[in-house]
Amino acid sequence: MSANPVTGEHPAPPSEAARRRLERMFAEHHVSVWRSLRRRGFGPEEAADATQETYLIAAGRLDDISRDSERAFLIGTARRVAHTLGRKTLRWQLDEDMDQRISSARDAGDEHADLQLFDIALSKMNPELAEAFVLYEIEGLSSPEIAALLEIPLGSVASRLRRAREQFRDAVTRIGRRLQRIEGQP
Amino acid sequence: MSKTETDLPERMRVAGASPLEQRLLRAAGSELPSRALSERMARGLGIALPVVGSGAAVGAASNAAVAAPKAASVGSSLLPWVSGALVAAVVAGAFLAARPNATQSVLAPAGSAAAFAPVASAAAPAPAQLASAPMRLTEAPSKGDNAESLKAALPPASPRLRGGTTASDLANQIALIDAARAALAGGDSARALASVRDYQSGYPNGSFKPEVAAIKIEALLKLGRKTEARALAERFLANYGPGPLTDRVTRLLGAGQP
Repeated sequence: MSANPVTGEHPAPPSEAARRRLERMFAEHHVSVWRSLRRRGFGPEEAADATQETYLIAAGRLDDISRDSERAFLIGTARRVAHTLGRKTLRWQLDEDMDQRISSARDAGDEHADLQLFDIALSKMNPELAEAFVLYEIEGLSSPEIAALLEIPLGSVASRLRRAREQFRDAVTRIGRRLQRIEGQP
Repeated sequence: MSKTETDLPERMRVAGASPLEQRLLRAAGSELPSRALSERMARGLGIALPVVGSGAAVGAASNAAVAAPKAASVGSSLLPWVSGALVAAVVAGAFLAARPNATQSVLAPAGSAAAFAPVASAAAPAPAQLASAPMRLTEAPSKGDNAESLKAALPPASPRLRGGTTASDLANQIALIDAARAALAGGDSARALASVRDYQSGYPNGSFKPEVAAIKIEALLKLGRKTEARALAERFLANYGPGPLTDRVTRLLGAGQP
């Protein structure tokens, strides 16, 4: 690293603190970020790419991110990355062949079957409600975090979550009935 | 705890879910990227994963979302190199005045799944390559990121994200957006529009097209060019789904009504 020819000063090195902070943020939150993208219909590899892009953006904005809002910032950024990449809403169009998909899910083995069934349930929900539902029920975000992330009033968060839960319950009930019907077939 | 918080329904995984609901929620909450995927992401960012043995362990910590930060343990497993991707991104703010080097993003247009065509480990430069651009991270106490030192420390080629967007592309894009926003906040809408034009010509398929479009709409409105702003806003609302930006554009559109 050479000295500045004009001032004779050596340039300051890049911030070690910034790098450590990004590492910590990655260790703590990359799974949540990746998973939030998975629930938007991204495949595992696609979600990893979008997660990486999310952290690159965050790396350029570390000074703007408060310690308390790192996760919300990251998931919010991932959401924007997903929008940019054309995943504006959850991409699950499963109305026509729900039975077939449920059958496939059941054939996929327990570990993946339930996850696929969850995504099927999500697909039956209003996308805005599904988004709030995932943030609250799966990622464990608080209502202020969700309000900030979705840019909606706190009261709207509670309202969305209640409606989301109703829709989720309806969807799972229907899935349960279809599972019983499929299992009842010879 | 606020009233709104207490008004929230209890989390379903805690209480009130049927066995099938519990199963599905548990499945969704326990999905993790493979260790290999996590490592690939970390490599692309030039950072280290904590040595925990498996991706599952990392994920479990993340999923708990209550664990106190363990910066020391993370730092103890630092890789001996730092990729240009991280450096380029960290210095994004320092490139405010720099015009993008006409390096056009090759991200596929929104809506195209081809934007994520597989590129094997393209974002992960080999340690040996980066060893030629060692960074002396502990040379002096940091007084904030210094653009010159960071640029000097960059390896010759920035790592390339899947789809062809490099880290420096992203840094440049962010810098242009920051410049546009700053101009807008400072009341210089014409300069904001100039930054928007720079972005749109340099990155026609850039990663922040919606953000730039929203800035443009606001700048046009502030300049009194309501017809153009309205046309652009209507196109925006037709093209993009619900979200904060859409809400913002809707508000702008309402505010710009005669």
